[in-house]
Amino acid sequence: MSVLLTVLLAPLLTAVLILVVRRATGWLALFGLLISTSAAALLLIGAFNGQSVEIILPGLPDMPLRIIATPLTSLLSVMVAIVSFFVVLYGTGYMSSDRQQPRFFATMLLFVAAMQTLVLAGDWILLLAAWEIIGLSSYLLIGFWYDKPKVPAAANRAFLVTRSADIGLYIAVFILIASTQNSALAATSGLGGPIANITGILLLIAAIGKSAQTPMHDWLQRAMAGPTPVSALLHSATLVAAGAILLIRTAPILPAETMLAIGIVGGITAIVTGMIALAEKDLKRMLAASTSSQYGLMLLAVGAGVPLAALLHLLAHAVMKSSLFLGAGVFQHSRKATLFSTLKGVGRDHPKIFIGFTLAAFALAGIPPLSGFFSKDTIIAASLVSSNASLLVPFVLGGTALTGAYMARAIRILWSGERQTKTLVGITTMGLGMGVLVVLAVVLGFTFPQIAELLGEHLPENPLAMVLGLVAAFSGLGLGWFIPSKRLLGPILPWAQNGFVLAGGFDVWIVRPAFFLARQSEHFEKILYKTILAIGQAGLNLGRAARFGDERGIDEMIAALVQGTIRMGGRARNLQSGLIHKEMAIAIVGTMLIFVSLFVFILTT
Amino acid sequence: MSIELVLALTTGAALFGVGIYGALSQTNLVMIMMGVELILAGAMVNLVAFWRFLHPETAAGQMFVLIVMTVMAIEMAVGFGVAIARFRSRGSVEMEEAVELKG
Amino acid sequence: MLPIVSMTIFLPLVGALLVMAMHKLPAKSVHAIGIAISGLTLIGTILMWMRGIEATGFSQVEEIDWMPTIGAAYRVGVDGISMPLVLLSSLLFFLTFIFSSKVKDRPHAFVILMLLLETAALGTFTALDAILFYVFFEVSLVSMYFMIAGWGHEDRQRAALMFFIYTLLGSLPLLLAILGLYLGSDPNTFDMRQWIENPPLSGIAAMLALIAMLFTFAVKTPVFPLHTWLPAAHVQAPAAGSVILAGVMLKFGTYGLVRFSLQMTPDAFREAGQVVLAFGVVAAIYGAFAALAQRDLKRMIAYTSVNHMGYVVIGVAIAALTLDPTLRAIALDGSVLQMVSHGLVTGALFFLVGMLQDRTKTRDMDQFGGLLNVTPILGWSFILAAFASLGLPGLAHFPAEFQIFLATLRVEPWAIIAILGIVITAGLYLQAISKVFLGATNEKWIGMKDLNFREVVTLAPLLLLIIAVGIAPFWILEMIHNTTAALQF
Repeated sequence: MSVLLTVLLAPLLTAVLILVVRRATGWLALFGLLISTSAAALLLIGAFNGQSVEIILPGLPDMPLRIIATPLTSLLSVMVAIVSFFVVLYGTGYMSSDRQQPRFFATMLLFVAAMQTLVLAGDWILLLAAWEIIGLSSYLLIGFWYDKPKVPAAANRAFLVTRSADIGLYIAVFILIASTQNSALAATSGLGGPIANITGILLLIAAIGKSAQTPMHDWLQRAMAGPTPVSALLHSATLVAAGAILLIRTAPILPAETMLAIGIVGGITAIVTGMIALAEKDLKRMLAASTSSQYGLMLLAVGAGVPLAALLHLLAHAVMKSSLFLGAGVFQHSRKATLFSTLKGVGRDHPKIFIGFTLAAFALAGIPPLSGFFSKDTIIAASLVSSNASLLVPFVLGGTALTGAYMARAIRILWSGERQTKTLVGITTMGLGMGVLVVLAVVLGFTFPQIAELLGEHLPENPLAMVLGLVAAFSGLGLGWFIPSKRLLGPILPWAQNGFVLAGGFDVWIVRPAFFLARQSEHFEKILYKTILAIGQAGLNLGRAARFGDERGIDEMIAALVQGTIRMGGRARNLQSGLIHKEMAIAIVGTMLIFVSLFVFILTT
Repeated sequence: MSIELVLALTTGAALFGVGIYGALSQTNLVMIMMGVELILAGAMVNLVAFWRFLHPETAAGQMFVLIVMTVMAIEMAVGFGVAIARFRSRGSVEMEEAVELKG
Repeated sequence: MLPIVSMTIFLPLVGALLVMAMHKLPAKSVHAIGIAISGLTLIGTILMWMRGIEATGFSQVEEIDWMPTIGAAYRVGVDGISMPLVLLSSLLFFLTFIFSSKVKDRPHAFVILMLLLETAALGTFTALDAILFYVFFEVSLVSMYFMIAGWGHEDRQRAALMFFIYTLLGSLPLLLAILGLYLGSDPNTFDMRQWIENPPLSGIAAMLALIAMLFTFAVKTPVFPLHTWLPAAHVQAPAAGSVILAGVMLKFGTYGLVRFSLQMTPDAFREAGQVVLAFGVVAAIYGAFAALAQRDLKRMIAYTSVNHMGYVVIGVAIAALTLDPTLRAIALDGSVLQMVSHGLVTGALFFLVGMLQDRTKTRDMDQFGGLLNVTPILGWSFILAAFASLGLPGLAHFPAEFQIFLATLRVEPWAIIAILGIVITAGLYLQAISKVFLGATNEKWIGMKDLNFREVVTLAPLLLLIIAVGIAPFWILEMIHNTTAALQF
């Protein structure tokens, strides 16, 4: 129990410690990771012995958080721990002259803690939460040098693309929790019908985003703006693995149609991003495209119905790709650039690093007896026996060939050039970190049978697969070494160099419409505001009309009444002439009238 | 109604009428007062006629005439007093000019 | 039993009278009194919390007869829905007093108005008598009007006037509805508990009362299209005013939505639920898009408030539409928690923008750049609050939005498109962060000072609570869930 928690808490608490103490941050980070790695190893050993540990934490009402250590999750946990440890070791050398080391190592540890939570998650909410937090760490780490010009945009791009794809995961999680009334991962088996298909597609969308599959592959290449240890850890071995891990863990519940979709997406990605890698002018971006391509192969393996093959390739790729990135980082430090044109011949400056790079490259290409050979072999075998073999096999072989091609091209460019003598600060730690990973890349393949046994499955074996694989790998290597990419890709070279952007890509299809809608909303706001002001004006006008009515209407009426009365009085005043005989006349006339009327009255009654 | 009574009443009415006409049409205060005298005289003639021809035995008619004559005298005295006061302040007794009490 | 609820409600008023009496005091003492009184009020609300809340009905009820012939009484009490809001209000007021201790312009009037507002806020949430509720509801407008008009920014007079008249007019239908409910209740009473237990109206009368109440609460919440007063008011209000407006006063609308519309006319609400849900969805998405278009930081955050309150409306509508008590509980849990989270997060954001504006005298995003190097504490606090606002797991809004969307998908799946809001919000906050804090440092602001002690003390509790609610929401959800799970209609 506490071993399980240590795996997660060690990196997290060390991160906090680093932010507080701010000294010897690299060594603190390594110490924390060492503890975490040991705990993960203990878990794995326990898993080998058949133990399975679970922790339940309070979460939302009726939906507690679960962390479980099964053979699969412990294996992934150990992978994450080991790669993180050596990349951070490398990082102590790489970042030795940077002044922001506390923030760097703290964020790296936050990432590791989140990634460990992701692989060890036993319920959907925790998985979703960890999924998003690794996205956050990615944003913070890609944007680590935030005052450099293109960096914030790259970080934004990465976060937004993955966040959009994450909606798929959100909705899939809601559907899963809703249909099974339970948020535990283990409870989601037994889903059927169209719901399972929809869920599967949604999960696939989330995986496409996180693992930088086509069509959402370009964020990964832009993410290379971050420090190289970040690229080595997050964007080759762990964060982008999350998509593949999701699909591997949920493979049992996915129906056949979804599997086909996964396979096709993986296959297309493998080819498209492989070609991008072949056309790339920048070493790190090439490695990024290559990462997308390899994950495409893993998705293809899941689609072929053998998640084990995907898992093995994931493990192998983690160590292979991270070694390649670490090597690229040394070259970057050496020549202060990552463009191929600047890096010509840098291999000669650092021969040991170059040898490691080449070994990892060959491993990736699938040369026996390196680990990549075994994992590629498993994938090809799986695709041959799958129900959609006719579709998947060409993708796999194409992907393998392209892998060989671009790696050979890279090696060729890195070797062919002038030697420049350079000494690098921190080369020892960098070399050490990389070295261990290269060794792992070489020997990991021999552990695959035991891993398969641990998980209770066996490796698909097919001699045809081995032959096809070797043919594809060697032809790829040859093509890449001898023929420049211009000739290989021919007319599609400019399009490939552009990242195969379709009709403007995300900017035209998503970003511009979003801003258009935003401006329209703002426009509508102004209209609403004016309407409210107009209502207010109408109220004011009503008040003015009332005042007008009062003044003109009522007041005038009363004034007219007054005037009328005064005029009548004036006319009545005319009787008061002040002349005596006129007064007398009036008196006499009046008296006459009285008498006459009296007589009439008396005479008539 | 004997013929002498009618004759006397007619005389009285004629005097009354002339007196009214005079009081209303004249503008000079003295002339207006003359008219008023005639009115009173006409009334007195009527009085005497009614006494002589209808009730000669009572003394009321004679007494009434004496009182009226006294009132006439007092009224003349007051009236001419006002006329003199007016003449002294304005220099004329034309009633057309006495409009100070116009409303 | 000490009447702690009433004491807590009226303590700020007593403080206001105290300050009014001692009008010769210097600014520092006035602010000290304000901080002390609001601190005591905060302790009072925590005491109320610790006394405990029963699952059904209202707890800690204090009652005094007021107008017995019409059944109006002074009645206050709390339940699982109002208690978190009471705690949120007292915390935000306390922090606002600390933040505003630098106000030198007419400090007496300022502190008096804020204390009055605090009483009104606490009273609104705890009132159990409809007339009392209405009184407190309206008194708050007066305070806020004067705060905006007296201590606001460029166009404050117009904004204050518009705010006051708009919300005042908006509150009139509520009065009609209250009267309608009064006339419909069997022994005629204004007791809200009676109205909740036995909804007095039915049929057309209930629907009309509901529409009237919805209008009022739609203006207050605010819900599209009756929301235009909010951006204007927020932009012109002083930072303290914005924090209280967004953190506390918007909750009057949503609280009323739950307490009045949902609990007192449940059947009518169920019939009208789809319409309300549609408005909520539109508000959420429209608010996010409108925020994306803004260049003024405060306006941007104001529109994200429209977006977040849209989620609350969705949650309440879902709770009304469903007949399943579990789903209703989930939806209401999410809505109430979202109210609390919004108060914490948007409160922090407005404080931060206020601190920024104090230093730079501008709110325009394009005027800044690279401030993370100049003012790291302010920058990282903003980044934390911004990520909380966009719904990152581990921070305050995630548990709430998760529950709301989960219930939505179960009950009315079409409304799940509102989840697009989280991507748009992400986009707009990242845009703001990169314009203001990342990139090359704008020379204008190079010597700018970072947060001082007062400002850190203001922000720290909010940021810590944001993380706490995000990672371990159960300590708040427990009290909410006890009540929402026991609701019967």
